[in-house]
Amino acid sequence: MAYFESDRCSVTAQLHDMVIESVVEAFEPMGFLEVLPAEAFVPYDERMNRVRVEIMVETPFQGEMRLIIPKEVGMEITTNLYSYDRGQVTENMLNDMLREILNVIAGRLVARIVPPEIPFTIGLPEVGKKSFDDKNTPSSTFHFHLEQNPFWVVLLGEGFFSASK
Amino acid sequence: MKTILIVDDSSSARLFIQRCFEVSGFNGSQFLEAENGQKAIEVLGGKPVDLLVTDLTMPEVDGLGLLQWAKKNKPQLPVLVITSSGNEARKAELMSAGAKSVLIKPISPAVIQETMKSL
Repeated sequence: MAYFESDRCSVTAQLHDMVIESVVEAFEPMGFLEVLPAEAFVPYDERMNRVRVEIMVETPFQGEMRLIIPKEVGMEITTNLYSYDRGQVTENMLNDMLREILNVIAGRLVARIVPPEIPFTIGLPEVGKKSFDDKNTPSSTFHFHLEQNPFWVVLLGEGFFSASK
Repeated sequence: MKTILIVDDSSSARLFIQRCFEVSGFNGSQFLEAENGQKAIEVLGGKPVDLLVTDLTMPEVDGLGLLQWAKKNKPQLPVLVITSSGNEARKAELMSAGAKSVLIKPISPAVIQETMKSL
């Protein structure tokens, strides 16, 4: 059973499964690495050298999705795709790779939430500078492991939780 | 397909799409790249292209704008849309705008192979 934390929102089992399926579906073909839901709560360490990317869901509901991942893991995924040595991977390549992965995760998740006859739009992913979480926004954090390293996916905004009920 | 133009604002996505084509038997093709619809229009104005592969959500001219431009200015050019913002409704919209096929990210070599058979 995968563990997930839901501080300020109730997450249905259905939404929980949708998030996990979407993350696995996005990471494995592009990152060539196996992703597993964490079996226990993985605390987020602010001192961690990590990259945070974010993307907005624009229609038919509004929300934000974030991917927080250790830079080291991002580097591994990027070197795998480019078939480069680590020294050849630039910050731009790393950020671009993680933006694209989040873009695919968001697309897969929203496609699962929204009925197929309703088109949806998501924005352009960006490397974020905000804090890990927004205290006043309904949110849920999902914990994963990739090659023994933790990473997190955060859903923010009531839309995710009401649209998936 | 001799020349394939891949349009996506993500360089990682362009590389991944190219790899999928190469693994699917298109390793002899020439691959051109553009990071948005506007840049793609510039490439299409200067070089012969046999297949246009485009993302949907991009800055400047997006994939729908590029598709509409291609249908007007290069009506014989097949356009394949590869997007993360895809579901049945979006597919129907893009097909009626002239896309030959619409694929949902993440793609795979098997999906490309199957799609190219029908183009």
